[in-house]
Amino acid sequence: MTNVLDATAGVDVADYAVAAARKAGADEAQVFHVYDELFEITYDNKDVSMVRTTVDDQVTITVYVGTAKGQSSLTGRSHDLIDQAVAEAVAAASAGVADPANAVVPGEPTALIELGHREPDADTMIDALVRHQAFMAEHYPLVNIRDSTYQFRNRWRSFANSAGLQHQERRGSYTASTIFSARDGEKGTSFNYTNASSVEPFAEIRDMATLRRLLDDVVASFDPKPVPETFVGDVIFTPDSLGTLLNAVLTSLMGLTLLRGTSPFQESIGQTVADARLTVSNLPCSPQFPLASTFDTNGVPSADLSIIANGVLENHLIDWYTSRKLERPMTAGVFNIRVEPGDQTLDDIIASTERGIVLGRFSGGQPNQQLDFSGVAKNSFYVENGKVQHPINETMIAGNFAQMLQSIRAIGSEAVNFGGDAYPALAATGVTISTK
Amino acid sequence: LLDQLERYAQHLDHYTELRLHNNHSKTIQMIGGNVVTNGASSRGGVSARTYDDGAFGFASFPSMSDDAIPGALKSAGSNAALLQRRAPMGKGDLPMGTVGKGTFDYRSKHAALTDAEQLDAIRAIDDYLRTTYPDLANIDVNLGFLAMEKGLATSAGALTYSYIPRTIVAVRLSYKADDGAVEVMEAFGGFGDPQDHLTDVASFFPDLDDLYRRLRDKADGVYAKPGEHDVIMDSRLAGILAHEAIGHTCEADIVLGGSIAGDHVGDVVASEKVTLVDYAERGPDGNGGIAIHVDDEGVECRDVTIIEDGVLKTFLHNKETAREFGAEPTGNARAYAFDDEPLVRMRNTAIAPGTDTLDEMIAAVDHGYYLMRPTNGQADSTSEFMFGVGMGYEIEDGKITRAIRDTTISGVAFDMLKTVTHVSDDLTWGKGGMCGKKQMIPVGMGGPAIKCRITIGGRS
Repeated sequence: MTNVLDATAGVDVADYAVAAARKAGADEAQVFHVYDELFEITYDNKDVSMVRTTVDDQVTITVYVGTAKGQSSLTGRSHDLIDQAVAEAVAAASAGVADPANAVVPGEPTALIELGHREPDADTMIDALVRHQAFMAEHYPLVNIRDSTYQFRNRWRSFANSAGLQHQERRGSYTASTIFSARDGEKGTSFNYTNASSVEPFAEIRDMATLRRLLDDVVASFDPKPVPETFVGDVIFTPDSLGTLLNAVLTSLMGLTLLRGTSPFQESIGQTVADARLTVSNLPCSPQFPLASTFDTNGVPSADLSIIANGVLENHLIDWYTSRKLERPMTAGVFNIRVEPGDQTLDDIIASTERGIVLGRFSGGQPNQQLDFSGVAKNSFYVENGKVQHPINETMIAGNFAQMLQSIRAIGSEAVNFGGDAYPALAATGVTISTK
Repeated sequence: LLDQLERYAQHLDHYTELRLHNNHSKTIQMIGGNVVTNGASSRGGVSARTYDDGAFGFASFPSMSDDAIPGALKSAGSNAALLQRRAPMGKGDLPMGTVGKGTFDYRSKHAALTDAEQLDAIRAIDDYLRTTYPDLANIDVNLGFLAMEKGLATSAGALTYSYIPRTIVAVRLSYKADDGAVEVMEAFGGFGDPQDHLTDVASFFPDLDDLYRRLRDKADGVYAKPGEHDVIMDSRLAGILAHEAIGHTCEADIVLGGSIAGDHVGDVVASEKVTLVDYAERGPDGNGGIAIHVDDEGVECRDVTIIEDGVLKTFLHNKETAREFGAEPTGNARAYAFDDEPLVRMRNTAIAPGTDTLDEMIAAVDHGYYLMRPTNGQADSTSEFMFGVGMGYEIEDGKITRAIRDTTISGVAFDMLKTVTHVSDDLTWGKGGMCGKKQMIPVGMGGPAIKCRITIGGRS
């Protein structure tokens, strides 16, 4: 890798920028610095076609003049560039709007935290891809891989503010991402994709997260047809598709949504919002997630948090600014979500389904503020009388995610760790499943 | 800048692109009257991409200084050599296409606005809405400005500079209906710097009044009936249809990955009323959402007619896919940031206007829907697509009646396009438009309105 910048100097860069901001007239200032080295290999079925190495060196400066906020970010760390960015941030703040919720986070300096390797094992990565291409040719000859990547990223994150708070961490992680579809003569399937991250290189790409099951599914997806009729039934989310449900629900719990006053869970703390089998946590301090962080962009140290415990909403996701704005406790700034597994395998859940679909991927419109949703079921299968009947196309699902939380009837026994989040399968009832 | 790039590009062993690239942005985010974000960003650096007999090596460094150029070139060469050593492909040379040259500077001729003037403009919109419509549950007003500034030289002789600005003011309104909150969104502004759009925000007010009226219609609206219906898709939806459902399916890298379009060149895939083009520069009317004259592989951009009178004609290419297909590069290689490699991307994509009027088209629907605004969209290699619809109305007996709540439409593009019976005689470009395909990038999407049959999702 190109490495002529001092990766460890992020705190010094941040410190300089904070001092420069104070000198330029800021009453308070905070600086977030990211130094990032990426090593990426691009491949498909036949070729390992590109090696890409990038270096990023990004400084984000936030200043407060009075309580008005201004921001500026730049690539580079020279004092001239930082001084210019500071001047821009101070100018923006000087033209800004006073808001008593604006302030830097108090705290003490913390020690450097490091996780993972500093350099990629390039030969191991290339060897793994060559083996993966051979495996695919032997076991999945009808599957086309495209635009797939295997990355190693070494990222330093540093923070300083005018209250004396300082943090620095370094994380090295491997991430494999793959996109694929299948072709057999003129027959083709939908594309699907997955990705996962790990501290260590993947021993075999095929063993990452859910890839083997997704590959089996795609070659079983020729000759799809719509569900036989429109009906109300079960949707079985796979670990890959559960994020569709979770992300919509978590967005409605965020501080900015509460600030808008439009969350369906605005006043729901302590209330039962889901089936008692559902427990959802935010675990940025957990070593199970290589993509976690020990502090957020405001310098707030990460903390684990129970969001929904046995169906009861325990916490909203409120960051530093919105906590001050809403006068509510601060709960979250970094997100690494884990849904606790249940007691049934995916096969058990399918076997207990009277009528519904296994939802491999959801391609849908953005849910509205009430969490109404509708969209197309992709990479999905029709289930009747406990058995998978056929792959589906031109099939849509519609319902309400908040209501769906209450109608959970099973949770899978394995929470798949994708590196940043961990999800099991989950089945819910009462969803409109429609055909043309 | 260009002299330095050209000097380096002339002394290279292998085919190489050398790019100095800086994305300038400004963001003001007002949520519920609170200024949540207020700042600028400059993210730039140098990149080099080298090609050697099938192997690409790419490297970037976060500095706009010419001191950074030799290091980027050296790393790119090392990366290509690593692949040649470990996984040689022997694919031969790339086609160079028509080498592009020129300066394309679209920066405004008006004086730049100060930070205070930009913030005042956003606050004026917020104040107007807050004062005029006190029953709104929430108002978000966001300014998003992005100017992509690039200098590019290639060993094939391309040499170009461009500055392409876009300013979007996005307004989102919420209203508490009897059964919960509903919302609508609209974008203002478009191609150009902030001073091209923010000096008279009062000119937005009539459209904001219309947006509020449609929000109230939606609050009283009904859920669309699921199933296949006759619909009028307004230009915004026709634009996203052109981009998502057809354009992506006909990107040559997607075709190589198994897109169904690969089997249908020369086939009738749409009504003869449908001609669909990915336009270079700023489109046929000079109002496309983006400008692009030379792509990020140094190829002169040209219009690509993907569907002509219903027949699938060709695909969108970069140099690598052009080599695979034995075709010429079309100028569709684009990179979002300095540390991104160029990918096959669309530019200004639209269905060409027809001869019908919107009123005639609505009158031709006995029972169906008039779909006005998309929220998002996604397509598949099978050409099956999905768009969210955030604003629309029922049509009964040729007349617009009740508004509908948020819904989703879907179909298989190469089937659905055959149901097109009317194409309106106008061409309207969307104000914004971002496309995500490994990298996000601004795109232009537009078109006339079309009448077709499509599947609507929703609750009975």
